[in-house]
Amino acid sequence: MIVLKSSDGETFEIEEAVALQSQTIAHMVEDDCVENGIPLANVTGEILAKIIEYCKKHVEGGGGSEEELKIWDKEFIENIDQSTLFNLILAANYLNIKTLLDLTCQRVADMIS
Amino acid sequence: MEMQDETGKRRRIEEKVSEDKISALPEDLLVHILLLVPTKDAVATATLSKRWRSVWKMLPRLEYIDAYNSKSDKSVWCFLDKSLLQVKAPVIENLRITLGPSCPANVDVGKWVDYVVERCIQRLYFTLAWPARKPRSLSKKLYTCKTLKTLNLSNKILVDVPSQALLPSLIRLELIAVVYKDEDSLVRLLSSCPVLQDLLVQRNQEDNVTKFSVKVPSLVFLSYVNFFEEGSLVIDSPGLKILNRIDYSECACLIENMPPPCLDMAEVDIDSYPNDKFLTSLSSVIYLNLTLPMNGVDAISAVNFSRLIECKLTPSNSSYLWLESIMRLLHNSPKLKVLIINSECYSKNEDEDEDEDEDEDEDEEAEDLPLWRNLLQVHRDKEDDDDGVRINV
Repeated sequence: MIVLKSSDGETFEIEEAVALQSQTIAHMVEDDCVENGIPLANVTGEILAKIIEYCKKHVEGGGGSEEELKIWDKEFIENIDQSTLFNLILAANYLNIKTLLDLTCQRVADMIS
Repeated sequence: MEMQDETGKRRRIEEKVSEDKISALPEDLLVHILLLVPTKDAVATATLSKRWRSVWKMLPRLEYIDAYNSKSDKSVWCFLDKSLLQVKAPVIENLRITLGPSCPANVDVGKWVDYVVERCIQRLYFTLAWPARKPRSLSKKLYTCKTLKTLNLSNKILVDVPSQALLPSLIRLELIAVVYKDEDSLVRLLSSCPVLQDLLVQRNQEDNVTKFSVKVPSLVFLSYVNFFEEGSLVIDSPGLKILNRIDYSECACLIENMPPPCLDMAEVDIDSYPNDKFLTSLSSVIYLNLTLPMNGVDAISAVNFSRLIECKLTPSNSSYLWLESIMRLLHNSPKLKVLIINSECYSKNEDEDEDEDEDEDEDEEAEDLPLWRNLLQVHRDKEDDDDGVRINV
């Protein structure tokens, strides 16, 4: 299990497989500096919770069909407000979670085009 | 009408993005987002705010595509002319331009070439889809571009290559129905690519080249398509591994300098009888897909295919001679595992009524072709035996 600490002091304990979807965290695990939990100074508890929700669903393909996962993604991204979307983009970029970054950026792109 | 659409759209975009939260993202993330948006809309974001004015200029991938056949729509040319020269991205990774018949006739279609060459362009796809107009040549700077990795030139382009041409990074070259200034131009072009691996060519009817000579030491993949009667092909590329040739010309293909043969894969669709050298060059393939005239099948069956594992044959007509050729082919292909016979023609002779139309068996378990049952049985026997072949005809 890996412990993540948000900027506002919340802690989240999650399975390694879930956390490893973040390339940033994966590198930290490789470099073996996760002894006392990983502090994420750039991410608030609220956003981190959302990210963990996404990563849990996407562990190993999501456990359902590709179609199901797409539908889940669609609902996930459509039910968040702009402010959260903005913060998710920044966090997904910082944590280097490619699929989440693509999903959030595509959302903004759809709004623009 | 268009003006109203533009302002309406702008207002909608402004509404959605006016939260300014999104605008506060770092530039590289904004570029990441704009890459997911059609070029035209991305460029339109310049009007949103000061912040957005220059974001689109950092886009490394751009597309300007005219609808191929619509004459009434406004050409993308005006938009291209205004925007492309403002791009500030340090490297242009991808640029696709297709100009159709609605593009004004007398514009300088090549003037942006110099600019993108300076911006370290990596992949360029340029098509002039102008059926009724003369081919246009491009700036010479294109042929000395240090950063170009992929170049696709299509249709009404005149390939006029200077003597100092050098494309040191070019890996993939696609010449689709273009016209060459002369044969020397083509030779210069191909000689200027020291690391070229993929070459795709589609011949044009009067492209000023009689003998299309492919002399590229680094070449691995060649696709050559010629639907016309004229035009021959000479291949002198000893490293070639994959050959696709669709050739309806009367001319045979010459392959030079390929001892020993080292092709891995070949897809060949020809009208003429293949010559010995060509056949020998095919002998090393692991995968073979052939569409041949009848006498060609006969010739093929004389080749020793020491590595052939999968073979697909489409003879242009069938007769009982077929079967003997197939037998010989099996005999000469000790490693063959899959043989697919695509029989497209109806048999003229009632006795040989085993031709099914459009029949393709994906593996040996074909129930539809009674004639071939013996054949396939022989095939299976071959696999069981380590050496020696028993052929039951």
